[in-house]
Amino acid sequence: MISSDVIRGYTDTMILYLLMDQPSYGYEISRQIRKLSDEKYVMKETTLYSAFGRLEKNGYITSFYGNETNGKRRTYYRITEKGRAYYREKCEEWQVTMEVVSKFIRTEADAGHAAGRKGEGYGND
Amino acid sequence: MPPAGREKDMETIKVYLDNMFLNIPDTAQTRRVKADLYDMMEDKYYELLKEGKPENEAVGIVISEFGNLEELREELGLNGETGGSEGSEAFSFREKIRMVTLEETEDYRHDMNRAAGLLGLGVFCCILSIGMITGLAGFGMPGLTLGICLFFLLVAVGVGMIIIASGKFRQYSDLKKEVFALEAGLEEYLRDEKQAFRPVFGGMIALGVVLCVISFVPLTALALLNAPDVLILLGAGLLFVLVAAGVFLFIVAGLRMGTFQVLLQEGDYSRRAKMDGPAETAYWSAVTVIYLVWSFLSGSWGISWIIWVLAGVFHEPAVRFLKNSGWIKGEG
Repeated sequence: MISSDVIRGYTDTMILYLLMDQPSYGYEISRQIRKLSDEKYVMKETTLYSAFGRLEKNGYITSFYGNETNGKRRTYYRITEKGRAYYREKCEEWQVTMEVVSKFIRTEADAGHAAGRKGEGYGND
Repeated sequence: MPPAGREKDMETIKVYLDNMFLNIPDTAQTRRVKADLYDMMEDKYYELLKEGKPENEAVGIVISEFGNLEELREELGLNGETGGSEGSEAFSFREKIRMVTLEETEDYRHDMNRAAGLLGLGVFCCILSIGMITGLAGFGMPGLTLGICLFFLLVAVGVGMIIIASGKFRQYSDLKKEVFALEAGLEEYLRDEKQAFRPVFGGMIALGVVLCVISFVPLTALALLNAPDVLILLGAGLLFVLVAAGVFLFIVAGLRMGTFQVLLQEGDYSRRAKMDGPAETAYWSAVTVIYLVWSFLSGSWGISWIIWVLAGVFHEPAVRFLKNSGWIKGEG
């Protein structure tokens, strides 16, 4: 399971990505996230709700009432220009984040290599 | 798929949401958030049905994927009012709801039925112990000595059983206090089981009442017939045996019915009642203590069993009173 701490900074990005092409609504977005992540990440209702609130407050998305479904109006969300700009920003940020963090990720294969480098740095006393 | 099942599922979702919001101040803002969340959950439920999910599975998914209100602190306006770090202590948010499996409920029922039997037997022994003294008192010194020995033996065994049984009850106290959800299909199964137990319950209570009522008969008959003292004392002993058997039935029947209420979260174990604390335990402990103290002190075993019947009748108002009076505080 994915650590929620890491992913928390990118829930907004995931939602904006799904709104890039057309407006969508709560359940559809959470369904897409589950599908695209191969069921590895399920966005909780409260996470989704707080993200919508935050994104709307910052002017990244706008909401509107869609068609009647199940006898109720459903809230749809649409991405704004500001939202698109923010999304691109977050994508760049992620690239950098990934580059930086991956420098500190060692797998079994390069474990010996990293240990050797450490030895170099501190000398042999 | 009957619409009745869907209405019930929406009710389940509503109750769940109510529980989540129980500790949260009721303001226009929080009410709006709650209504929004309800709409989202309702939408999700119907979308899941459209995808072909069975109703109980859909409601399970909706509830298990609800999340944590902690995330909505800001939307609920809980930061501004209380201010900074203090605010984070002011409201306790509920974590993800506990799911109870068939295996757990079966373990619980198995253990509870045994504990009920044990508690019943314990009380049975305590009552019987008096009967031993009375019944054997007519047989001179040896009879009385034997009676007293049996009295202490039975009290020791009885009290031991009561202590072991209470330990078992305590072991499962989390089910009585915590709000939980049952695995898919489990609720229907338990309802069927409860329905099947209902006639057994009625029979046990009725038989218990009959035993208690007729407990006087041998003694009265023997006294009216001017029977010898030995027989009258034996009759008095028999009174205790019959009362003991009756009380045993009350206890076992009541506790076994109680396990269904605990698992189905009904009555005093309803999700709402759970928030109010352990008034239930306090009530029944008090009843048991009153019964034993009154009976032992006054010796009126022939009538004191009526406490169990009265306790059953006044159960709900009394527990409500205990809760409202503030004598019993919720734990934690």
